[in-house]
Amino acid sequence: MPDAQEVELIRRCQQGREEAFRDLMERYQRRTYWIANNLLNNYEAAQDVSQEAFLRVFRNLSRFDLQKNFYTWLYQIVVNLCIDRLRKLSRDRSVDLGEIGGVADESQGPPEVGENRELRRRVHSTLDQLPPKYKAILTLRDIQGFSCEEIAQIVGCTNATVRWRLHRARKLFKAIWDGKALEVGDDDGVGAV
Amino acid sequence: MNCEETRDLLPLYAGGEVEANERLAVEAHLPLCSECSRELDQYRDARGRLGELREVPMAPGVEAEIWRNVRDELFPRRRRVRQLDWAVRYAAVLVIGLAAGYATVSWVGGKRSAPATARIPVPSPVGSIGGNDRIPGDAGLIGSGRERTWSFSGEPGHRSVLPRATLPDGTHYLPRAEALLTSTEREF
Repeated sequence: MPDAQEVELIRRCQQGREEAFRDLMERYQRRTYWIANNLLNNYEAAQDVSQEAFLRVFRNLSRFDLQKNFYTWLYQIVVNLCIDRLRKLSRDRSVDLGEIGGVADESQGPPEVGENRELRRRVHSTLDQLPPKYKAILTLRDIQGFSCEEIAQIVGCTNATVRWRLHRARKLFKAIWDGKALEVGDDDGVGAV
Repeated sequence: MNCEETRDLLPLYAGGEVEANERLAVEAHLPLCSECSRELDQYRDARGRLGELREVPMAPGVEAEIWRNVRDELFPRRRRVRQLDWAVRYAAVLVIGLAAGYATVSWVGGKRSAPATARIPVPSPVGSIGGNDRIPGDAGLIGSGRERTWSFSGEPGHRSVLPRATLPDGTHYLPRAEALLTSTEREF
């Protein structure tokens, strides 16, 4: 259940108050950016998605049900925007779903030191090879630490479906990491998140 | 539970997403199987590496830039300029009002500042008598009903009024200069 302070803040945003929306953005801006960057592996794209997500939030805020958690709605928008981008990238590059990868652009981020940087690069590279919906589930659970219930609300599916996709995503991740052939089944293809 | 069944549960067991009965079954098998234990460690390592990606460092200024772009799109500049315009107008009225008030206070104060006792050029008296003298050829004192006022303009903007004495034949006398400079001087 959302806390009363946030409900009041959202109400003021619904009245079009700039300062209230600024406060709301401050609460969620960083995590929004993290999720977008985890999914897209690109700082500039993550910034674009963050901006677009907040624009959509504000424009649709009048329809938001104050009884629901704001953050699951916000992150649903973020994840969908990211998956749309990943699919578009896949079409533009004409690569197989199993080879979808983000554009690693480390030039815009803060510098990292040697081994850490290499490890992160390998983790990102492995993630980038997962189909978008598995990448999203793994990002939300293993990177961002959301519960299965929260992930179910964010991606719009049942708890059981979340667990199944999580199971599949972790097996795929491990197989790629271990350098084994990626087995992507029919049900692993592009579809609704 | 055999190895195949256990390995199938390990991805979820590593993240704590298994049901209670599944957890018990896995935990009963693991001490008996080093292969399954090693595979579990690999899943946990993978989760650990993924967890390190959680907080993505943001380059300086990115947060501010995101807000600025969102603000400019949702709250157009002209609204902000309009608000600024009114603020400037109010400030201008306030400044003008304060300036006018100061000017008024300065002008009024300036009018009162010159003492009436300043020496001003006086035209040549037609005579000169003291305030308590007798009028020549007359028994009366200056202050005994024969006093008249005589005004003249000296410096521009100044007007002085002096008592005078007038005889029946029309001759009139003005006070001596020193008679003007007494403690009973009037302010003009």
